[in-house]
Amino acid sequence: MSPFLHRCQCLRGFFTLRPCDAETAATCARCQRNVCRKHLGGLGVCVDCAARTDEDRLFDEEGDAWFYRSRHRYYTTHHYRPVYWSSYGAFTGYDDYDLRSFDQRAADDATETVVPGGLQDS
Amino acid sequence: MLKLWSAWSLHRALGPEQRRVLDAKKVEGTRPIAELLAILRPLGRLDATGNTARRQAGGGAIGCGVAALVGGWIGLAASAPAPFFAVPAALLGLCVGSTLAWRSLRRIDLTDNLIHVALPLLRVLEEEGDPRSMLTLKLDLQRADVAEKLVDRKNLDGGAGRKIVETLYRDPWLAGRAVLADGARLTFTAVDEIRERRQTRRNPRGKVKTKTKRRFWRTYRVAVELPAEHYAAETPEALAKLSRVEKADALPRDPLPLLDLVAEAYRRATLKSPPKPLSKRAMPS
Repeated sequence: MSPFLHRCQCLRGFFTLRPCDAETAATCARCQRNVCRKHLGGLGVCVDCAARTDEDRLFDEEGDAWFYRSRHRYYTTHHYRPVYWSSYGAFTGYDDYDLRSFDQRAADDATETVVPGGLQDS
Repeated sequence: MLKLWSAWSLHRALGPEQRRVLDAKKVEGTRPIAELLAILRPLGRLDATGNTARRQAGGGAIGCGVAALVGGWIGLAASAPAPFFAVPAALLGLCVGSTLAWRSLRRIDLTDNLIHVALPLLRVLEEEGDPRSMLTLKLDLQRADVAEKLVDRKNLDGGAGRKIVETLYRDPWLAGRAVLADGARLTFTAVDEIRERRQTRRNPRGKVKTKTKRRFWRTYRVAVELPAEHYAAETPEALAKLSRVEKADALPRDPLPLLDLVAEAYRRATLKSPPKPLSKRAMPS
């Protein structure tokens, strides 16, 4: 079983995105992704889902809600396609951002085997 | 009054490092991004609360002062008994108290660039970096119109009895460099240039009127060096140097132009091979 399934599946970064990869603390009530403590909002949904809805207004302004809301707004209004990179292969499509991914075959770590479906063993 | 109390408790909660920054109104050094954020976030919170509290204290001081004057005048005109004057005296006391609070809040006031630009930018850099990422930061949190930032002051000929004094300030308030999680080297600066025109004239009734007009130019400069092993740059040189000038009557209130410049460097690059995951990279010695 891939360790990815037990790690936080939220994306870190702004110009480039990568999985957070921290230990999972809960599952998002909306997108069913595994999320860590940092990426879990106050309403049982992940910060990315919260940023897409008005509910994020209920979050503490001093917290991280600003960042995820701004990132979502920046991608949608500035038509920015973030670069995606990860140790787990190609993007598996759990997000609706228009991402640019690296060619995994060109990865410099040749010892890693890419598993079909975008996941790979570590 | 509540905001004043809340600003006071925020100020009391500051640590020694944050008090040093508040006194010097400058941050300089190389530290992990998260550590810099931990120092600057409470200062940002204090500044935002302090701004509101200062407005309230200023309004309160003016209101109490006017009410004390009116109360005292009414008391004198109506030959009121002595106890009546306790009210204008109390209002005068409140006016003095509010003025002192306003002055102390102004002393600890930081430029709004902290809450509107620097903190959001640091948060983005924290996301882009890894926990070991260091940021070399030079941040000046003083107002732009202090004497040390004065560049030139000259008298212009206004004509028709007008006197115009033009003052120019240059405020290089932000500079920094960091290595991001994908290995990209980012350098950024922000410089504000301010032109202040103070026009004084005497109207036909002999009153002296003064008008002040300010114009701001903010120049953002960004250099992004994307690692050649992961990105193929559009141009032969890997270093993308970009700059943008924002011209406005009021200072810009977000870091978006700076983020746009970095995003532009990434837009221009073609993806080659993914960076190594952080867990598989060697720790720096």
